[in-house]
Amino acid sequence: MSQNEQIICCQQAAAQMRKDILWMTYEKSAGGAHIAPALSIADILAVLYTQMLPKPGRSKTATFVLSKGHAAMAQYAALCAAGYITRQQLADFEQNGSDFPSHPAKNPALGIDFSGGSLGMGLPYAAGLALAAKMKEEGHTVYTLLGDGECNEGMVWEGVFFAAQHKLPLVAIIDQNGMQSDGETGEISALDLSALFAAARWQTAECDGHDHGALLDVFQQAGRLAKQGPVAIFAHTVKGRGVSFMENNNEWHRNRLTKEQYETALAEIERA
Amino acid sequence: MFENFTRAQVRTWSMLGSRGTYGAVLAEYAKENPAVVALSADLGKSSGLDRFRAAFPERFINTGIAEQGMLGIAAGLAAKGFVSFASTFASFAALRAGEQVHHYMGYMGENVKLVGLMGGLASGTFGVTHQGLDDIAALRSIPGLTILCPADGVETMKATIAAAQHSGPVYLRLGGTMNLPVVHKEDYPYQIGKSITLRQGSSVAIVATGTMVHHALKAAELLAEEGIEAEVVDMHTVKPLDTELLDGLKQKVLLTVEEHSVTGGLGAAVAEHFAARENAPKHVILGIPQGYPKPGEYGWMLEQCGLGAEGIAAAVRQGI
Repeated sequence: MSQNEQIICCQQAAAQMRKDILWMTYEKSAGGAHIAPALSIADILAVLYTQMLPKPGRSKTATFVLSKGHAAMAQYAALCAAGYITRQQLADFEQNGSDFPSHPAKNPALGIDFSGGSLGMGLPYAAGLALAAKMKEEGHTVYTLLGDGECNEGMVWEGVFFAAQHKLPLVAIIDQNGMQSDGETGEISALDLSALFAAARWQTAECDGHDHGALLDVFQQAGRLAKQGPVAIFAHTVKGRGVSFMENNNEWHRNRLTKEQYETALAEIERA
Repeated sequence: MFENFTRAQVRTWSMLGSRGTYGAVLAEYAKENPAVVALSADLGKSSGLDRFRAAFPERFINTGIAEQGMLGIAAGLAAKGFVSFASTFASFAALRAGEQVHHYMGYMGENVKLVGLMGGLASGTFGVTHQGLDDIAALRSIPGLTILCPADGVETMKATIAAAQHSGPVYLRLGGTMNLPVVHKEDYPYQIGKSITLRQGSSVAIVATGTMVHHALKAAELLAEEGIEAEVVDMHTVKPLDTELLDGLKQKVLLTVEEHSVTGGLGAAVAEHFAARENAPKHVILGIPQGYPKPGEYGWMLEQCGLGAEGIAAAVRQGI
Protein backbone atom coordinates (compact mmCIF):
# COMPACT_ATOMS: atom_id res chain seq x y z
CA MET A 1 0.00 0.00 0.00
CA SER A 2 1.34 3.41 -0.88
CA GLN A 3 1.34 6.13 1.73
CA ASN A 4 -1.61 7.79 -0.02
CA GLU A 5 -3.59 4.58 0.07
CA GLN A 6 -2.75 4.16 3.73
CA ILE A 7 -3.96 7.68 4.48
CA ILE A 8 -7.23 7.11 2.65
CA CYS A 9 -7.72 3.92 4.63
CA CYS A 10 -7.13 5.84 7.88
CA GLN A 11 -9.51 8.61 6.88
CA GLN A 12 -12.25 6.14 6.08
CA ALA A 13 -11.67 4.28 9.32
CA ALA A 14 -11.66 7.51 11.35
CA ALA A 15 -14.89 8.73 9.76
CA GLN A 16 -16.61 5.41 10.45
CA MET A 17 -15.27 5.44 14.00
CA ARG A 18 -16.69 8.90 14.62
CA LYS A 19 -20.09 7.78 13.35
CA ASP A 20 -19.88 4.70 15.54
CA ILE A 21 -18.98 6.79 18.60
CA LEU A 22 -22.04 8.98 18.02
CA TRP A 23 -24.22 5.94 17.34
CA MET A 24 -23.07 4.16 20.52
CA THR A 25 -23.82 7.29 22.52
CA TYR A 26 -27.24 7.93 21.01
CA GLU A 27 -28.53 4.36 20.63
CA LYS A 28 -26.83 2.44 23.41
CA SER A 29 -25.76 4.67 26.23
CA ALA A 30 -28.50 5.31 28.75
CA GLY A 31 -26.79 7.86 30.98
CA GLY A 32 -24.57 9.67 28.52
CA ALA A 33 -21.12 8.74 27.29
CA HIS A 34 -17.60 10.22 27.11
CA ILE A 35 -18.06 11.48 23.57
CA ALA A 36 -15.56 14.32 23.34
CA PRO A 37 -12.70 12.31 24.93
CA ALA A 38 -13.33 9.55 22.40
CA LEU A 39 -13.53 11.91 19.43
CA SER A 40 -10.22 13.55 20.30
CA ILE A 41 -8.37 10.24 19.87
CA ALA A 42 -10.33 8.88 16.88
CA ASP A 43 -7.62 9.73 14.36
CA ILE A 44 -4.79 8.44 16.54
CA LEU A 45 -6.52 5.10 16.99
CA ALA A 46 -7.59 4.90 13.34
CA VAL A 47 -3.93 5.11 12.29
CA LEU A 48 -2.67 2.84 15.08
CA TYR A 49 -5.21 0.10 14.57
CA THR A 50 -5.27 0.06 10.78
CA GLN A 51 -1.55 0.59 10.14
CA MET A 52 0.63 -0.17 13.16
CA LEU A 53 -0.95 -2.89 15.31
CA PRO A 54 -1.15 -6.54 14.25
CA LYS A 55 -4.39 -7.66 12.64
CA PRO A 56 -6.50 -10.35 14.33
CA GLY A 57 -4.89 -13.76 14.17
CA ARG A 58 -1.51 -12.39 13.14
CA SER A 59 1.52 -12.79 15.33
CA LYS A 60 1.67 -10.22 18.01
CA THR A 61 4.46 -7.79 17.25
CA ALA A 62 2.94 -4.90 19.15
CA THR A 63 0.53 -4.38 22.02
CA PHE A 64 -1.69 -1.41 22.77
CA VAL A 65 -2.72 -0.24 26.24
CA LEU A 66 -5.48 2.37 26.41
CA SER A 67 -4.54 4.11 29.64
CA LYS A 68 -7.12 6.83 28.95
CA GLY A 69 -9.85 4.29 29.66
CA HIS A 70 -12.88 6.56 29.52
CA ALA A 71 -12.27 7.02 25.78
CA ALA A 72 -13.43 3.40 25.42
CA MET A 73 -15.84 4.07 22.58
CA ALA A 74 -12.92 5.05 20.37
CA GLN A 75 -11.16 1.77 21.17
CA TYR A 76 -14.27 -0.30 20.53
CA ALA A 77 -14.87 1.51 17.23
CA ALA A 78 -11.20 0.97 16.26
CA LEU A 79 -11.44 -2.74 17.12
CA CYS A 80 -14.43 -2.95 14.80
CA ALA A 81 -12.59 -1.09 12.03
CA ALA A 82 -9.63 -3.46 12.42
CA GLY A 83 -11.79 -6.59 12.39
CA TYR A 84 -11.35 -7.64 16.01
CA ILE A 85 -15.03 -7.30 16.79
CA THR A 86 -18.25 -7.23 14.79
CA ARG A 87 -20.87 -4.49 14.50
CA GLN A 88 -23.13 -6.74 16.52
CA GLN A 89 -20.63 -6.71 19.36
CA LEU A 90 -20.33 -2.94 19.12
CA ALA A 91 -24.09 -2.83 19.72
CA ASP A 92 -23.43 -4.38 23.13
CA PHE A 93 -21.86 -1.13 24.34
CA GLU A 94 -22.98 -0.42 27.92
CA GLN A 95 -25.62 -3.13 27.77
CA ASN A 96 -26.18 -4.95 31.04
CA GLY A 97 -23.42 -7.49 31.68
CA SER A 98 -21.82 -7.04 28.25
CA ASP A 99 -18.15 -7.28 27.33
CA PHE A 100 -18.22 -3.59 26.34
CA PRO A 101 -18.78 -1.45 29.41
CA SER A 102 -17.99 2.26 29.67
CA HIS A 103 -14.38 1.45 30.60
CA PRO A 104 -12.75 -1.46 28.72
CA ALA A 105 -12.20 -4.73 30.58
CA LYS A 106 -9.20 -6.87 29.58
CA ASN A 107 -10.28 -9.52 27.10
CA PRO A 108 -7.49 -10.67 24.79
CA ALA A 109 -9.89 -12.66 22.61
CA LEU A 110 -11.55 -9.35 21.69
CA GLY A 111 -8.25 -7.54 21.25
CA ILE A 112 -8.55 -5.65 24.54
CA ASP A 113 -5.27 -5.97 26.43
CA PHE A 114 -5.93 -3.78 29.44
CA SER A 115 -8.68 -2.93 31.93
CA GLY A 116 -8.98 0.85 31.89
CA GLY A 117 -10.90 3.38 33.91
CA SER A 118 -8.50 4.24 36.71
CA LEU A 119 -6.26 6.91 35.25
CA GLY A 120 -2.56 6.33 35.58
CA MET A 121 -2.77 2.55 35.76
CA GLY A 122 -1.92 2.00 32.09
CA LEU A 123 1.58 3.44 31.87
CA PRO A 124 3.41 1.26 34.43
CA TYR A 125 1.58 -1.80 33.12
CA ALA A 126 2.68 -0.92 29.59
CA ALA A 127 6.23 -0.53 30.95
CA GLY A 128 5.96 -4.04 32.42
CA LEU A 129 4.82 -5.41 29.05
CA ALA A 130 7.70 -3.59 27.36
CA LEU A 131 10.20 -4.95 29.88
CA ALA A 132 8.88 -8.45 29.23
CA ALA A 133 9.30 -7.91 25.50
CA LYS A 134 12.86 -6.68 25.99
CA MET A 135 13.76 -9.59 28.28
CA LYS A 136 12.36 -12.08 25.79
CA GLU A 137 14.10 -10.28 22.91
CA GLU A 138 10.95 -10.38 20.84
CA GLY A 139 11.46 -7.13 18.96
CA HIS A 140 7.99 -6.27 20.21
CA THR A 141 6.86 -2.65 20.74
CA VAL A 142 4.30 -1.55 23.31
CA TYR A 143 2.08 1.44 22.59
CA THR A 144 0.06 3.24 25.21
CA LEU A 145 -2.20 6.26 25.04
CA LEU A 146 -2.66 8.72 27.89
CA GLY A 147 -4.63 11.89 28.33
CA ASP A 148 -2.76 15.09 29.19
CA GLY A 149 -4.86 15.49 32.35
CA GLU A 150 -4.01 11.89 33.17
CA CYS A 151 -0.38 12.97 33.49
CA ASN A 152 -1.35 14.63 36.78
CA GLU A 153 -1.23 11.14 38.31
CA GLY A 154 1.99 10.34 40.19
CA MET A 155 2.08 6.72 39.20
CA VAL A 156 2.41 7.73 35.54
CA TRP A 157 5.80 9.21 36.40
CA GLU A 158 6.90 6.12 38.31
CA GLY A 159 6.42 4.24 35.07
CA VAL A 160 8.04 7.01 33.01
CA PHE A 161 11.22 7.04 35.11
CA PHE A 162 11.43 3.25 35.04
CA ALA A 163 10.95 3.03 31.27
CA ALA A 164 13.79 5.47 30.66
CA GLN A 165 16.12 3.76 33.10
CA HIS A 166 15.65 0.44 31.35
CA LYS A 167 15.46 1.84 27.81
CA LEU A 168 12.20 0.07 27.17
CA PRO A 169 10.57 -0.37 23.73
CA LEU A 170 7.61 1.75 24.75
CA VAL A 171 5.77 4.43 22.79
CA ALA A 172 3.49 6.67 24.83
CA ILE A 173 1.07 8.82 22.89
CA ILE A 174 -0.24 11.78 24.84
CA ASP A 175 -3.60 13.04 23.67
CA GLN A 176 -2.83 16.69 24.25
CA ASN A 177 -6.23 18.36 23.93
CA GLY A 178 -5.62 20.89 26.71
CA MET A 179 -8.67 19.83 28.68
CA GLN A 180 -9.63 17.59 31.52
CA SER A 181 -12.89 16.85 33.32
CA ASP A 182 -13.24 20.09 35.30
CA GLY A 183 -11.76 22.45 32.71
CA GLU A 184 -8.60 23.47 30.91
CA THR A 185 -5.39 21.72 31.88
CA GLY A 186 -3.64 25.09 31.97
CA GLU A 187 -5.96 26.29 34.71
CA ILE A 188 -5.72 23.14 36.78
CA SER A 189 -2.15 22.02 36.36
CA ALA A 190 -0.16 23.70 33.60
CA LEU A 191 2.55 21.21 32.72
CA ASP A 192 5.11 21.42 29.97
CA LEU A 193 4.74 17.70 29.32
CA SER A 194 7.20 17.60 26.47
CA ALA A 195 9.92 19.12 28.68
CA LEU A 196 9.05 16.80 31.55
CA PHE A 197 9.33 13.68 29.42
CA ALA A 198 12.55 14.94 27.86
CA ALA A 199 13.96 15.63 31.33
CA ALA A 200 13.02 12.07 32.22
CA ARG A 201 15.27 11.00 29.34
CA TRP A 202 12.57 9.96 26.89
CA GLN A 203 12.84 10.70 23.19
CA THR A 204 10.02 13.05 22.23
CA ALA A 205 8.11 14.00 19.10
CA GLU A 206 5.14 16.24 18.33
CA CYS A 207 2.48 16.09 15.68
CA ASP A 208 -0.99 17.22 14.69
CA GLY A 209 -3.18 14.54 16.27
CA HIS A 210 -5.76 14.79 13.50
CA ASP A 211 -3.45 14.60 10.47
CA HIS A 212 -3.29 10.97 9.40
CA GLY A 213 -0.18 11.43 7.26
CA ALA A 214 1.67 13.13 10.11
CA LEU A 215 0.51 10.48 12.57
CA LEU A 216 1.65 7.70 10.28
CA ASP A 217 5.08 9.30 9.87
CA VAL A 218 5.57 9.87 13.58
CA PHE A 219 4.39 6.37 14.54
CA GLN A 220 6.73 4.75 12.04
CA GLN A 221 9.61 6.87 13.28
CA ALA A 222 8.71 6.13 16.90
CA GLY A 223 8.59 2.41 16.22
CA ARG A 224 12.21 2.58 15.05
CA LEU A 225 13.38 4.89 17.85
CA ALA A 226 11.73 2.71 20.47
CA LYS A 227 14.37 0.09 19.83
CA GLN A 228 16.74 2.39 21.71
CA GLY A 229 14.40 3.50 24.45
CA PRO A 230 10.99 4.96 25.21
CA VAL A 231 9.38 7.58 22.98
CA ALA A 232 6.67 10.09 23.90
CA ILE A 233 4.54 11.46 21.09
CA PHE A 234 2.63 14.64 21.85
CA ALA A 235 -0.38 14.57 19.60
CA HIS A 236 -2.01 17.98 19.52
CA THR A 237 -5.71 17.30 19.46
CA VAL A 238 -9.04 18.98 19.94
CA LYS A 239 -11.42 17.53 22.48
CA GLY A 240 -14.63 16.71 20.62
CA ARG A 241 -12.98 16.95 17.22
CA GLY A 242 -15.27 16.30 14.29
CA VAL A 243 -18.44 17.81 15.70
CA SER A 244 -18.42 21.59 15.67
CA PHE A 245 -20.61 22.14 18.73
CA MET A 246 -18.51 19.72 20.79
CA GLU A 247 -15.03 21.01 19.98
CA ASN A 248 -13.31 22.45 23.07
CA ASN A 249 -16.66 22.44 24.84
CA ASN A 250 -16.35 20.67 28.15
CA GLU A 251 -20.12 20.11 28.28
CA TRP A 252 -19.29 17.16 26.07
CA HIS A 253 -16.77 15.47 28.38
CA ARG A 254 -19.66 13.17 29.19
CA ASN A 255 -23.16 13.72 27.84
CA ARG A 256 -26.23 12.39 26.11
CA LEU A 257 -27.31 13.30 22.57
CA THR A 258 -30.75 14.44 21.52
CA LYS A 259 -32.06 13.20 18.19
CA GLU A 260 -31.42 16.58 16.67
CA GLN A 261 -27.87 16.79 17.97
CA TYR A 262 -27.19 13.25 16.78
CA GLU A 263 -28.41 13.97 13.27
CA THR A 264 -26.54 17.26 13.06
CA ALA A 265 -23.33 15.62 14.25
CA LEU A 266 -23.65 12.70 11.84
CA ALA A 267 -24.25 15.07 8.95
CA GLU A 268 -21.06 16.98 9.81
CA ILE A 269 -19.01 13.79 9.82
CA GLU A 270 -20.48 12.73 6.50
CA ARG A 271 -19.80 16.06 4.90
CA ALA A 272 -16.17 16.21 6.10
CA MET B 1 11.79 -28.91 45.80
CA PHE B 2 13.16 -29.13 49.36
CA GLU B 3 11.55 -32.54 49.87
CA ASN B 4 13.32 -34.38 52.67
CA PHE B 5 14.71 -31.19 54.15
CA THR B 6 17.25 -31.74 56.87
CA ARG B 7 17.35 -30.55 60.46
CA ALA B 8 20.20 -28.28 59.43
CA GLN B 9 17.92 -26.64 56.87
CA VAL B 10 15.20 -26.16 59.48
CA ARG B 11 17.78 -24.41 61.67
CA THR B 12 19.02 -22.29 58.76
CA TRP B 13 15.53 -21.10 57.83
CA SER B 14 14.81 -20.33 61.47
CA MET B 15 18.05 -18.38 61.78
CA LEU B 16 17.43 -16.46 58.56
CA GLY B 17 13.93 -15.49 59.57
CA SER B 18 11.05 -15.19 57.12
CA ARG B 19 12.51 -12.68 54.66
CA GLY B 20 15.91 -14.36 54.48
CA THR B 21 14.15 -17.68 53.92
CA TYR B 22 11.93 -16.16 51.22
CA GLY B 23 14.99 -14.84 49.40
CA ALA B 24 16.98 -18.05 49.72
CA VAL B 25 14.07 -20.23 48.64
CA LEU B 26 13.18 -17.99 45.70
CA ALA B 27 16.77 -18.06 44.49
CA GLU B 28 16.77 -21.85 44.64
CA TYR B 29 13.36 -22.16 42.98
CA ALA B 30 14.39 -19.76 40.25
CA LYS B 31 17.20 -22.06 39.15
CA GLU B 32 14.73 -24.44 37.52
CA ASN B 33 11.99 -21.91 36.88
CA PRO B 34 13.25 -19.29 34.44
CA ALA B 35 9.93 -17.45 34.42
CA VAL B 36 10.41 -16.28 38.03
CA VAL B 37 11.39 -12.63 38.43
CA ALA B 38 11.87 -10.70 41.67
CA LEU B 39 10.92 -7.05 41.91
CA SER B 40 11.70 -4.72 44.77
CA ALA B 41 10.92 -1.07 45.43
CA ASP B 42 14.53 -0.39 46.38
CA LEU B 43 14.40 -2.76 49.34
CA GLY B 44 16.37 -5.60 47.73
CA LYS B 45 18.82 -5.72 50.60
CA SER B 46 16.02 -5.70 53.18
CA SER B 47 14.06 -8.32 51.28
CA GLY B 48 16.57 -11.11 51.59
CA LEU B 49 17.08 -10.91 47.82
CA ASP B 50 20.85 -10.51 47.73
CA ARG B 51 21.30 -14.15 46.79
CA PHE B 52 18.68 -13.93 44.01
CA ARG B 53 20.21 -10.75 42.65
CA ALA B 54 23.70 -12.22 42.59
CA ALA B 55 22.54 -15.41 40.88
CA PHE B 56 20.07 -13.86 38.45
CA PRO B 57 20.93 -10.19 37.95
CA GLU B 58 18.85 -9.98 34.78
CA ARG B 59 15.78 -11.26 36.65
CA PHE B 60 16.08 -8.95 39.64
CA ILE B 61 14.27 -5.69 39.03
CA ASN B 62 14.66 -2.67 41.26
CA THR B 63 11.84 -0.34 40.31
CA GLY B 64 13.15 2.44 42.55
CA ILE B 65 11.14 3.71 45.53
CA ALA B 66 7.92 3.42 43.54
CA GLU B 67 5.54 0.85 44.97
CA GLN B 68 2.56 1.70 42.79
CA GLY B 69 4.72 1.57 39.67
CA MET B 70 6.25 -1.69 40.88
CA LEU B 71 2.82 -3.33 40.97
CA GLY B 72 2.05 -2.18 37.42
CA ILE B 73 5.41 -3.38 36.12
CA ALA B 74 5.01 -6.71 37.92
CA ALA B 75 1.55 -7.09 36.41
CA GLY B 76 2.73 -6.34 32.88
CA LEU B 77 5.52 -8.89 33.25
CA ALA B 78 3.05 -11.45 34.58
CA ALA B 79 0.72 -10.82 31.64
CA LYS B 80 3.56 -11.91 29.36
CA GLY B 81 4.19 -15.16 31.21
CA PHE B 82 6.61 -14.23 33.98
CA VAL B 83 5.91 -15.24 37.58
CA SER B 84 6.34 -11.89 39.30
CA PHE B 85 7.36 -11.79 42.95
CA ALA B 86 7.19 -8.18 44.13
CA SER B 87 8.24 -7.32 47.65
CA THR B 88 8.27 -4.35 49.98
CA PHE B 89 7.24 -3.68 53.58
CA ALA B 90 3.73 -4.89 54.35
CA SER B 91 2.17 -1.51 54.96
CA PHE B 92 3.60 -0.05 51.72
CA ALA B 93 2.48 -3.11 49.81
CA ALA B 94 -1.07 -3.00 51.09
CA LEU B 95 -1.72 0.68 51.61
CA ARG B 96 0.56 2.72 49.32
CA ALA B 97 -0.10 0.30 46.48
CA GLY B 98 -3.54 -0.77 47.67
CA GLU B 99 -5.50 0.29 44.61
CA GLN B 100 -2.86 -1.27 42.40
CA VAL B 101 -3.27 -4.60 44.21
CA HIS B 102 -7.02 -4.27 43.70
CA HIS B 103 -6.74 -3.32 40.04
CA TYR B 104 -3.89 -5.39 38.65
CA MET B 105 -4.02 -8.42 40.94
CA GLY B 106 -7.72 -8.46 41.79
CA TYR B 107 -9.70 -7.05 38.86
CA MET B 108 -7.22 -7.97 36.13
CA GLY B 109 -6.20 -11.20 37.92
CA GLU B 110 -2.53 -10.93 36.95
CA ASN B 111 -0.16 -13.60 38.29
CA VAL B 112 1.68 -11.40 40.77
CA LYS B 113 2.89 -12.66 44.14
CA LEU B 114 3.07 -9.64 46.42
CA VAL B 115 5.33 -10.22 49.39
CA GLY B 116 4.68 -8.02 52.42
CA LEU B 117 7.70 -7.95 54.69
CA MET B 118 7.68 -6.88 58.34
CA GLY B 119 4.03 -7.81 58.83
CA GLY B 120 3.11 -6.99 62.42
CA LEU B 121 5.41 -5.32 64.92
CA ALA B 122 8.78 -6.75 63.89
CA SER B 123 10.22 -3.43 62.75
CA GLY B 124 10.18 -2.36 66.38
CA THR B 125 11.47 1.15 66.93
CA PHE B 126 10.93 2.06 63.26
CA GLY B 127 7.36 2.69 64.35
CA VAL B 128 3.95 2.76 62.73
CA THR B 129 5.03 3.64 59.19
CA HIS B 130 7.06 0.45 58.94
CA GLN B 131 4.70 -1.84 60.76
CA GLY B 132 2.12 -4.02 59.12
CA LEU B 133 -0.73 -3.29 61.52
CA ASP B 134 -3.63 -3.56 59.11
CA ASP B 135 -2.27 -4.87 55.83
CA ILE B 136 -4.42 -7.99 55.90
CA ALA B 137 -7.49 -5.86 56.60
CA ALA B 138 -6.68 -3.64 53.62
CA LEU B 139 -6.41 -6.52 51.14
CA ARG B 140 -8.75 -9.18 52.49
CA SER B 141 -11.83 -7.97 50.66
CA ILE B 142 -10.20 -8.17 47.22
CA PRO B 143 -11.95 -10.95 45.30
CA GLY B 144 -9.64 -13.60 43.88
CA LEU B 145 -6.68 -12.75 46.11
CA THR B 146 -5.09 -15.55 48.15
CA ILE B 147 -3.52 -14.47 51.46
CA LEU B 148 -0.82 -16.61 53.11
CA CYS B 149 0.73 -16.07 56.56
CA PRO B 150 3.36 -18.74 57.25
CA ALA B 151 4.07 -19.65 60.86
CA ASP B 152 7.81 -20.25 60.70
CA GLY B 153 10.83 -20.70 58.45
CA VAL B 154 9.79 -24.10 57.11
CA GLU B 155 6.29 -22.83 56.36
CA THR B 156 7.74 -19.73 54.70
CA MET B 157 9.60 -22.07 52.38
CA LYS B 158 6.42 -23.99 51.60
CA ALA B 159 4.32 -20.88 51.19
CA THR B 160 6.82 -19.29 48.80
CA ILE B 161 6.83 -22.36 46.58
CA ALA B 162 3.07 -22.78 46.83
CA ALA B 163 2.64 -19.14 45.85
CA ALA B 164 4.92 -19.60 42.85
CA GLN B 165 2.98 -22.65 41.72
CA HIS B 166 -0.46 -21.19 42.38
CA SER B 167 -2.16 -19.87 39.31
CA GLY B 168 -3.31 -16.42 40.35
CA PRO B 169 -2.49 -13.46 42.58
CA VAL B 170 -1.14 -14.05 46.09
CA TYR B 171 -0.33 -11.83 49.05
CA LEU B 172 2.41 -13.52 51.05
CA ARG B 173 2.64 -11.88 54.45
CA LEU B 174 5.92 -12.40 56.27
CA GLY B 175 6.76 -11.35 59.80
CA GLY B 176 8.95 -11.90 62.79
CA THR B 177 12.69 -11.38 63.03
CA MET B 178 15.73 -13.53 62.48
CA ASN B 179 15.87 -16.61 64.71
CA LEU B 180 12.21 -17.22 64.07
CA PRO B 181 10.96 -19.95 66.43
CA VAL B 182 10.41 -23.32 64.81
CA VAL B 183 6.84 -24.58 64.68
CA HIS B 184 7.20 -27.33 62.06
CA LYS B 185 10.20 -29.57 62.78
CA GLU B 186 9.22 -32.33 60.40
CA ASP B 187 7.91 -32.27 56.88
CA TYR B 188 4.14 -32.12 56.44
CA PRO B 189 1.73 -31.68 53.58
CA TYR B 190 1.13 -27.99 52.92
CA GLN B 191 -1.86 -26.98 50.86
CA ILE B 192 -3.21 -23.49 50.34
CA GLY B 193 -6.50 -23.24 52.20
CA LYS B 194 -5.99 -26.29 54.42
CA SER B 195 -5.13 -25.40 58.00
CA ILE B 196 -3.02 -27.65 60.21
CA THR B 197 -4.09 -28.78 63.65
CA LEU B 198 -0.94 -28.89 65.74
CA ARG B 199 -2.41 -29.78 69.08
CA GLN B 200 -5.65 -31.37 70.22
CA GLY B 201 -7.64 -30.03 73.14
CA SER B 202 -11.30 -29.89 74.09
CA SER B 203 -11.46 -26.85 76.40
CA VAL B 204 -10.79 -24.16 73.83
CA ALA B 205 -9.75 -23.78 70.19
CA ILE B 206 -6.94 -21.36 69.41
CA VAL B 207 -6.82 -20.54 65.70
CA ALA B 208 -3.62 -18.62 65.00
CA THR B 209 -1.79 -17.36 61.97
CA GLY B 210 1.79 -16.34 61.20
CA THR B 211 4.11 -15.63 64.12
CA MET B 212 1.31 -16.16 66.63
CA VAL B 213 1.16 -19.90 65.97
CA HIS B 214 4.35 -20.40 67.98
CA HIS B 215 3.06 -18.23 70.81
CA ALA B 216 -0.27 -20.08 70.77
CA LEU B 217 1.56 -23.38 71.27
CA LYS B 218 3.48 -21.92 74.19
CA ALA B 219 0.24 -20.57 75.65
CA ALA B 220 -1.31 -24.03 75.33
CA GLU B 221 1.53 -25.46 77.45
CA LEU B 222 0.88 -22.86 80.15
CA LEU B 223 -2.84 -23.56 80.08
CA ALA B 224 -2.31 -27.31 80.26
CA GLU B 225 -0.64 -26.81 83.67
CA GLU B 226 -3.98 -25.35 84.80
CA GLY B 227 -6.00 -28.19 83.36
CA ILE B 228 -7.15 -26.21 80.32
CA GLU B 229 -6.57 -28.22 77.17
CA ALA B 230 -6.30 -26.03 74.08
CA GLU B 231 -6.52 -27.13 70.47
CA VAL B 232 -4.04 -25.12 68.39
CA VAL B 233 -4.59 -24.61 64.68
CA ASP B 234 -2.11 -23.12 62.21
CA MET B 235 -4.45 -21.17 59.92
CA HIS B 236 -1.73 -20.31 57.44
CA THR B 237 -4.17 -19.27 54.74
CA VAL B 238 -6.25 -16.28 55.80
CA LYS B 239 -7.99 -16.17 52.43
CA PRO B 240 -9.58 -18.55 51.60
CA LEU B 241 -10.23 -19.65 55.19
CA ASP B 242 -10.40 -23.34 56.02
CA THR B 243 -14.12 -23.25 56.74
CA GLU B 244 -14.33 -27.03 57.00
CA LEU B 245 -12.10 -26.92 60.03
CA LEU B 246 -14.03 -24.01 61.54
CA ASP B 247 -17.36 -25.79 61.08
CA GLY B 248 -15.93 -28.90 62.69
CA LEU B 249 -14.80 -27.20 65.91
CA LYS B 250 -16.49 -28.71 68.96
CA GLN B 251 -15.18 -26.36 71.62
CA LYS B 252 -17.52 -23.75 73.10
CA VAL B 253 -14.84 -21.06 73.05
CA LEU B 254 -12.68 -20.03 70.14
CA LEU B 255 -9.77 -17.59 70.29
CA THR B 256 -8.28 -16.24 67.08
CA VAL B 257 -4.86 -14.64 67.39
CA GLU B 258 -2.78 -12.68 64.88
CA GLU B 259 0.07 -10.18 64.88
CA HIS B 260 -2.26 -7.76 63.15
CA SER B 261 -5.04 -5.39 64.10
CA VAL B 262 -8.11 -6.83 65.84
CA THR B 263 -10.02 -5.13 63.03
CA GLY B 264 -10.33 -6.73 59.65
CA GLY B 265 -7.82 -9.58 59.84
CA LEU B 266 -8.05 -13.27 60.67
CA GLY B 267 -10.43 -12.63 63.55
CA ALA B 268 -12.79 -10.65 61.37
CA ALA B 269 -12.67 -13.28 58.64
CA VAL B 270 -13.56 -16.03 61.11
CA ALA B 271 -16.31 -13.88 62.64
CA GLU B 272 -17.77 -13.29 59.20
CA HIS B 273 -17.87 -17.02 58.63
CA PHE B 274 -19.66 -17.71 61.90
CA ALA B 275 -22.05 -14.77 61.67
CA ALA B 276 -24.95 -16.67 60.16
CA ARG B 277 -24.24 -19.96 61.84
CA GLU B 278 -26.27 -21.35 64.70
CA ASN B 279 -24.32 -22.87 67.56
CA ALA B 280 -21.19 -20.94 66.67
CA PRO B 281 -18.58 -20.92 69.43
CA LYS B 282 -18.05 -17.84 71.58
CA HIS B 283 -15.33 -16.05 69.64
CA VAL B 284 -12.62 -13.88 71.20
CA ILE B 285 -10.50 -11.88 68.76
CA LEU B 286 -6.94 -11.25 69.94
CA GLY B 287 -4.59 -9.02 68.00
CA ILE B 288 -3.06 -5.56 68.03
CA PRO B 289 -5.61 -3.26 69.68
CA GLN B 290 -6.88 -0.19 67.82
CA GLY B 291 -4.33 2.61 68.20
CA TYR B 292 -0.78 3.51 67.27
CA PRO B 293 1.56 1.57 69.53
CA LYS B 294 4.53 3.45 70.91
CA PRO B 295 7.62 2.02 69.26
CA GLY B 296 10.09 -0.10 71.14
CA GLU B 297 11.92 -3.38 70.88
CA TYR B 298 9.85 -6.09 69.14
CA GLY B 299 9.45 -8.35 72.17
CA TRP B 300 8.42 -5.42 74.35
CA MET B 301 5.83 -4.32 71.77
CA LEU B 302 4.30 -7.79 71.60
CA GLU B 303 3.89 -7.74 75.36
CA GLN B 304 2.38 -4.25 75.29
CA CYS B 305 -0.21 -5.53 72.83
CA GLY B 306 -1.00 -8.63 74.88
CA LEU B 307 0.47 -10.89 72.22
CA GLY B 308 2.78 -13.59 73.48
CA ALA B 309 2.23 -16.82 75.36
CA GLU B 310 1.12 -15.15 78.59
CA GLY B 311 -1.18 -12.70 76.81
CA ILE B 312 -2.83 -15.49 74.84
CA ALA B 313 -3.25 -17.63 77.94
CA ALA B 314 -4.81 -14.71 79.80
CA ALA B 315 -7.24 -14.11 76.96
CA VAL B 316 -8.22 -17.78 77.03
CA ARG B 317 -8.79 -17.74 80.80
CA GLN B 318 -10.98 -14.69 80.44
CA GLY B 319 -12.88 -16.14 77.52
CA ILE B 320 -13.76 -19.43 79.14
